[in-house]
Amino acid sequence: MENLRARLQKIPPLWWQAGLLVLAVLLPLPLNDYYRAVLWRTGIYAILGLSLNIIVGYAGLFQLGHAAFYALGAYTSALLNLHFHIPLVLTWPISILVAAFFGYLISRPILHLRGDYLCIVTIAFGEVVRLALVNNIFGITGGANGLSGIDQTVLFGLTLRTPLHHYYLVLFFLVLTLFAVRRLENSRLGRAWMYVREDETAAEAMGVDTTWAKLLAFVLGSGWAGLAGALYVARIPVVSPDLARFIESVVMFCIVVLGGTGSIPGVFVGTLGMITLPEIFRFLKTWRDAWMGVAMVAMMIARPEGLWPSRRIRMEIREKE
Amino acid sequence: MALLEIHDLTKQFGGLTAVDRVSFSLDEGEILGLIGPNGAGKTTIFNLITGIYTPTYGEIFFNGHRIAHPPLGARKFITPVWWLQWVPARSVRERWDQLRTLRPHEVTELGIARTFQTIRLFKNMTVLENVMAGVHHRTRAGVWGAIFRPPAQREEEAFIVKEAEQHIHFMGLSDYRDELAKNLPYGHQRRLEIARALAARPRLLILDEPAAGLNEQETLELMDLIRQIRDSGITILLIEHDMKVVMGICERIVVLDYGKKIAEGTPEEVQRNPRVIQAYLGEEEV
Repeated sequence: MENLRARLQKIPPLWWQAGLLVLAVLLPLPLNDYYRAVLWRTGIYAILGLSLNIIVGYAGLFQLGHAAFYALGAYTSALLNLHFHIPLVLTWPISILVAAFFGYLISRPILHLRGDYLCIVTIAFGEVVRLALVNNIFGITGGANGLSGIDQTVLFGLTLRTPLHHYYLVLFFLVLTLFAVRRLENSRLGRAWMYVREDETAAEAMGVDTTWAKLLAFVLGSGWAGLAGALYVARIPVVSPDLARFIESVVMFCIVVLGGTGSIPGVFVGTLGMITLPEIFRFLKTWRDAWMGVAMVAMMIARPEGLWPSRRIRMEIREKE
Repeated sequence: MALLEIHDLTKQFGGLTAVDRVSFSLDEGEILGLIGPNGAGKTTIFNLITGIYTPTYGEIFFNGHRIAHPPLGARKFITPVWWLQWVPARSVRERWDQLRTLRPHEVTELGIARTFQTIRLFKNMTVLENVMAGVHHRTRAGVWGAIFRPPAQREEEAFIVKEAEQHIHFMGLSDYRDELAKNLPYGHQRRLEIARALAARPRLLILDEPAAGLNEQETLELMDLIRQIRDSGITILLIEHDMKVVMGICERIVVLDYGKKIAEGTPEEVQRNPRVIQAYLGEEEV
């Protein structure tokens, strides 16, 4: 991995970025629809991973209820389409806003909590959202069965029908997300997140409004998870409370940690490990999850900083040992 | 008018009174030393000034602003402005600003910067990035600026780097610009902390034991630097155990013992004060 990275760094960034993009565009063409759907799922979870990475990786806040925002985005999109017949495309910005708003509501009172305490509150919030959806809150969420009968996505007069269409839609948003998070990382705000993660007291004493920084991380991350939810609805016309299951949050958390907290390539490695590989190894049936667990335990012992860690986080973790 | 005024400052942690009715003031352009045996409450006073703690009793004024006073606590519920603080009217905002307690970053914005007794650098960031933290509160770019990078944001980034480099140069750390903070020798880490605080362009610089762990030569250089900082128009408040430093650069000294102020005056006066001698050498057995 070290050699690979060293070699990648020698190539001008624009070349390998363009190369990866071309690869991502061409990749589904020789595959059948099943694997195209797997790629679509990989894309969705990569977006979720990148959004969670803002919260967990950059700002260093433990968030184990990310699936709740994913579900909120999906339900917002579905409900607006079912009740007001708003085309799905137009519901996407609203999904982002609703998820971001809930991100604000939940994080505002709990931001002063640190580490494990914050983690517990976010788990609880995730469960509250799931149970509210199961219990058919306000009579609009359809209970445990969820909602169905959502329209197909029409984009500029083109109806998106095949997995290939949806893959390209998700790919477009994935590239957009990548562009945005890379720029966020190397900005005044990105540095503020790093200061908070490294030493909150010192950051505060230097004039960094830590509440502002953490709140923005939470709101941006939650809002973007809402978009991933809306993209899910764009292909699957059925939403159910299963989207907000705790295990979903755990999978997203693992995506971020497995590849390397705070590292963008790490999120992709994590997505491959948590989403793509289990799909490919489906023939192993029930043994699959057991091997998955063994692999993760082994990895945490051998490489606690993740498979493709960011330089800085690796140093932070090695230091604590 | 004094730059910093402390009135009857008291801080209790449970049953322990760490700071007990301490009052003193600090004039513009002065170097004031705060000394006392271990556990006398010096660092607690620093934390009260910078907003990390809130006082149990008493007030602190900085440049005419009341920067510290006891928090409202449950009394906020019977305070009309607390209920009205969401109203976007200027008069409400101002009234509420007087009642609420300031957060540390707001104190820094008003012009107080500090260093820490145990070095608290951002260890895994470079020297430049560390000093850039000080410029943070004087710049404004947010999410929009980060993603779209309009010309204003790019100018601001250049400004941040320029400002940071200037302070790195002043503290003589130019050779280490891109080195990680944790790889710096100890003495340089102390300097980096001061550079980071100076980058916040404070009017008052608070130094918590800046000479701790430095050798003779480094201590002399530090004393020289502190004088230079003062000559550039920054008022300095420092805690120091090294009496050579305190007596050498401070114009006035406040002595604390068990949270109480026991003496105040010029170095000569303080050195002669029997209560100070007693506090440092212990009670005489009768």
